[in-house]
This record gives sequence, structure tokens and C-alpha cells, in this order.
Amino acid sequence: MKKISLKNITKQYDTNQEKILENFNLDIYDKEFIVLVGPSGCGKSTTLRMIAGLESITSGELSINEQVMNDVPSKDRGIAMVFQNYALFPHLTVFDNIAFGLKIRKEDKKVIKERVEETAAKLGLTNYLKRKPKDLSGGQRQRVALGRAIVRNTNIFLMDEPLSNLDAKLRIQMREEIIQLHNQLGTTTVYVTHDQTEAMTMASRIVVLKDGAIQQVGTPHEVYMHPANMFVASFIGSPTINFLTVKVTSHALKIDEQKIVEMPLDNSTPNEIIIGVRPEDIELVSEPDAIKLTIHRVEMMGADKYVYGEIMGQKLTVRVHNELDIQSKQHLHIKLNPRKVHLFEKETGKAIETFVKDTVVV
Amino acid sequence: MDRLKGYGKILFFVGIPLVPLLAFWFIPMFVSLWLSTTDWDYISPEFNHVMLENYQTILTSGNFYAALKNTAFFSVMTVIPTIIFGLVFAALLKKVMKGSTLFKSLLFSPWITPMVAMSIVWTWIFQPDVGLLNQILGWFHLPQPSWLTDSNTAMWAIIIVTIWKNAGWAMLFYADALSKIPNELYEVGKMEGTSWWQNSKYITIPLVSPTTLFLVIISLIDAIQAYDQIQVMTQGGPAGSTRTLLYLYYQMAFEQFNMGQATALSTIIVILTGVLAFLLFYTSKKWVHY
Repeated sequence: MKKISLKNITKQYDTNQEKILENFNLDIYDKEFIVLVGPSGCGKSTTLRMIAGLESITSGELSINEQVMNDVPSKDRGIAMVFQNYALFPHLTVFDNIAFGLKIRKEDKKVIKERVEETAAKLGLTNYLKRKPKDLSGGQRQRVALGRAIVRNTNIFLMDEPLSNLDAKLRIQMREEIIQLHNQLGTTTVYVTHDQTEAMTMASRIVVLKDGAIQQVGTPHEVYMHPANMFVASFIGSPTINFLTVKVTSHALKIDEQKIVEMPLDNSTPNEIIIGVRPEDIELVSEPDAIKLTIHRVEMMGADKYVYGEIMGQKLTVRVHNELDIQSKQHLHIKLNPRKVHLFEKETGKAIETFVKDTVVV
Repeated sequence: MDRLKGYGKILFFVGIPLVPLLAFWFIPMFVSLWLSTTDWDYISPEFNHVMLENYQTILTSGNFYAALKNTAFFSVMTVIPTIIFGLVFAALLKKVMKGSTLFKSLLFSPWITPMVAMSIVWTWIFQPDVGLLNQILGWFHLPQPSWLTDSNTAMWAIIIVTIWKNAGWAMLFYADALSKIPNELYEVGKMEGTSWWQNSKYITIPLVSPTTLFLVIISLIDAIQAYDQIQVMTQGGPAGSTRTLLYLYYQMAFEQFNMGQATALSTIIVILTGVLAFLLFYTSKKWVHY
């Protein structure tokens, strides 16, 4: 069932200003966990705020539960929102913060107490109900903000970078908790983040945005394995994908006459293209006639090492196992797997669909 | 040796600002405390020690209680409207005329104008026959009181001038406090469908409460110390209707030359101010949210 549907949504603050969002189309289905991801200024928060009713919609149609919601006030849209900076009332206790919406909606006092206590129990906040936000840790504050959304008993959650104020360790823990809540409550969640790791780990579908336009919509696996363009390829995945400008010949891709990878391509392929290779997809080999990588710098990441270097004047990063001793070396020999090479048009950055890319053995 | 040097440093830095404080504040305070136990007449070199007689005379005189009542009335009637107008103006400034500096400066300008000059202008405005205020009231067929010459309205006239002067000043502080309230809190309200009144009650008023406490204390002290406008406009009259404690002190000291009683009264004013400020701070725990 379609839960939220955005049709040709456009947002413009001023008629002579640039469009923040243009012709945005997205259908969100029941119980999905949709993550809107993109660099700052891409329009992801604006989109979320339009769904919430905090921003007006310039043109297009927003429906929630199959009903047009463009002009319906936020409170009647059946949604709950979690804000980036928690947005807790500093003068109210945890209890009153969670109860705020219910109080405004004039629920019965007994019902409020019951619901708040039940929510607090779910979030492990029972012992903190009498505290003020300033006496809580960042993670607890975030839980209170979640509690305020949960207590409303709606089945659509909107979250605007809810974890960006937490430290790295806590972020991973809260990530887990949010996913668990999402599954447990059976809600539909729209989650905004600029962090591709959050997007990859949490989403059932990712929406990658740039400059107010959707770049790609797909499961984490899809956007990682089949990026629609160079932007998506570079935005998703860490360390960033390598791009190499190569010449197309009948059987192989070359840089300066040296064969980079064997790949039979049909005649429609342009002469010069860009290939994307993820650092983890590069194989180390010992054959001396393989591609020679000049090492500039090595970063020890724990389980892996990132090797930064260049081949024929083009930068390349390789991810290798931490046990590999490369500290003493100046060069490595590498090989690219044609199955794991992504092809892009040089002018537009769009992915070129080829037969080699389609089948990936999992 | 190093320790001695450290003490010397402290003494140096604390000592210098302490000199004027001692000369113009602590010593005069103790001198006036001592004066309040004498019957000095401000001129003659001789005086007698009367101990607490001055305090007794004041605390049993009708004039004192009349002035106390006037001060209390004046304080309440200026502090509360100043706070309310200040907040309303600041909210309007934020909402309607986003950051209009012109409007801000206009509202603030009374505060930088000397009270004496303003009081003279207001005396003309309050003039019963040709004054601007009664002219305007006349257009609307409203009653035209004699303002400064009527003991029923004189205090109101002084109150109006004082509020007019202070509201812009309060607005400036509130404007800053309002700008510090995160917009997200109002958005939380919007998501739940709060009304204008609920926004004020649950968000704005609690979050500007530290500013409110500050403004209440400062304008309360200001009200207790009101002198300029009373001196220019009514001189405490008519029939003592605008005689506040401080004005009573002025009259005792510099019209009746009863320095002993006057300093006793000033001591009482200081104690009263202190008690009020303490009470405000004490109760503020309940209504001020930092």
C-alpha cells in the first residue's frame, strides 16, 4: 500500500530564486524505512519538512494514506517528527516533554500517564521521567525525542538527521535502536541524513539526492552495486570509489596504451569513458606486467589498510588486508576485475549499462 | 617569596577597584547609617545622638505609610506593564517587522532621552486645557481629567511616562531572548497544532523567564528610585498623591533639612529593596527556567 506519495513536487521560496526541489516523484510504501541522503543543500530536509507540513509546497501533490495533504495542517497529517537538535523543551521534565502532544490534544490525564509510562518503558527512560533535559546524556535526550514521536501512536515517522549530534559510538547504538523500534512498531519511516553509512545500514530503500533532484532510488545493495551515475557512485561507499578516465578499444579499456582491464564493449560505447572501481574491488597480483601502482600514503584503519597512490598519473585508492606489509614497498601490482568495474559517460556522468555489469554472483 | 608575590598581585588588582568602592560606597553607607542615629540639620556643626528615635518617628508617621503605599502602587503599575509591553513589542518586532531597526530605535529612543527633558515634554502633553492628550481624548468624547493637578490622576500620569520610557528598553532585552529560542520548538508545537496562546504559555514565556526575572528586578529597583519625573511633573503633589518613599526622603533631607530622619528613611528603603530582590530571587526557582 502506498503510504506517502510525492508527485511532481517543486519547492521554490521566491519566484526569482532557484528551485530547491524540482519535479520530485517518490512513492513510499507501508512499513518502509526510506532514507533521503545527499550533501547539504540537496533538498532532503526540505522534502521532509514538506511532508511534515512545516514548509509549503510550491507545486505538485503530496498524498498520505491516499489522501491529498498539500493544505492539511501538520497536526492532522497523522505523522510524528523527530528533530535534529532533539527540540526538547528545556523547562519541562522528560514526562512532560513526552506528554506534550497528548496534552495539546487534550487527552485524558489518565490516558496520558499510561501512554507516557508505556513509551518510557519501551525506551528505557522510566527512571528519568522526572528529570529535565539538561540532566540527560545525548543518547537519553534522543530517546526522549523519539518518545515524543512514539507516544502519538501514529504510523508515520519523519526523522531529520536525528543522530548527527551524537558521538560515533552512540550513533551506532541508536541506529540499531531506531531500526528495532521501526520494526517493532511497524511504522513507515522517512529518515534524512547526510551520512551514507547511516543510509546503507538503516534503509530499506535509499533515495540519493543532489541539487534538488533524485539521483537514484533503490535498496542499499542496488545503489552500491549499480550506481546510476558518478555522483551516486562517489557518495555511497567508503573509502570513495576511484574514477579513472580511460580509452575504449575493441577489447579493452586503456590508459596511455596500457591495458587496464579486458572488456569487450559494443560499438556504441564512446571513445573515452570514465570507469569507477571501488577500493575493495582491486586485486593485488604479483605478475610484473600487471598495472603498477605508485604508493603515496598508507592509512591503517584496523581491519584494513587504505593505500593511496596513482597509476599513470591518475589517483587510485586500494583497500587491502591489514596483515599485508606494504610499509616498506613503493609499488604494488594490481588487477581490475571486469565484473566489478562501473562504466560512466564522460560528459553526463551517467552509468553505461553493459552485459558485464549485470551479473554479479553473490 | 613566590607566595608573597602572589598575594601582592591579588592585593594590587583587587585593591585598585576597591578604592573608589570604599570611598564612594562603603564609607558613605556607614556614615549615613551613623547619621541616621543623629538629629543633624544639614547645616549646624552640632547635633545630638538620638539612637533609634528617627526610625521610631518614621515607622509611626502616616506620611511614611502613605508614601510606602504610593511606592508599592507605582512599582506594581509600572513594572508589570513595562514587562508586558516589552514582550509584546519584541514579539511583534520578530513576527511582523522582521528585525526592523527603525522600529526598534523608535521604541528604544525614550530610554536614551533624559527623564528630565521627557518629563517637561509630558507636562505639556498632560496640560488639561491645551495639552495633546486631552485634545485626543476630546476627539473621542472621552473624559478629560486634569492629570497632574488632580490627586486622583497625578500618579497615573507619572506611571504612563515611566512605562513609556522603559517599555522600549525591556523590548530590547526580550528581542534578544526571543531570538535565542530555537525555532524547532515552535515547529514541535506546529506538528501538534498548538494555538497562539499555547505557544506563548508553553514555549515563549517559560523560555524568556530569565530575562523576565532580570527585567523585573531592575525595573523594580528603578521604580523604587523614581525621582526625576516626580520632581519635574508634580513635586510629590497634589496632596502627596505622588510622594513615593524616595521623594519623601528628598523632601525630608533637602526641604525640611531633617538629615537624621532622612538617612533613617533611606536605610529603610535600602533594606526594603534588598528584601524584595531576595524574595524575587528566592521565588524565581519556581518560575525561572535556565
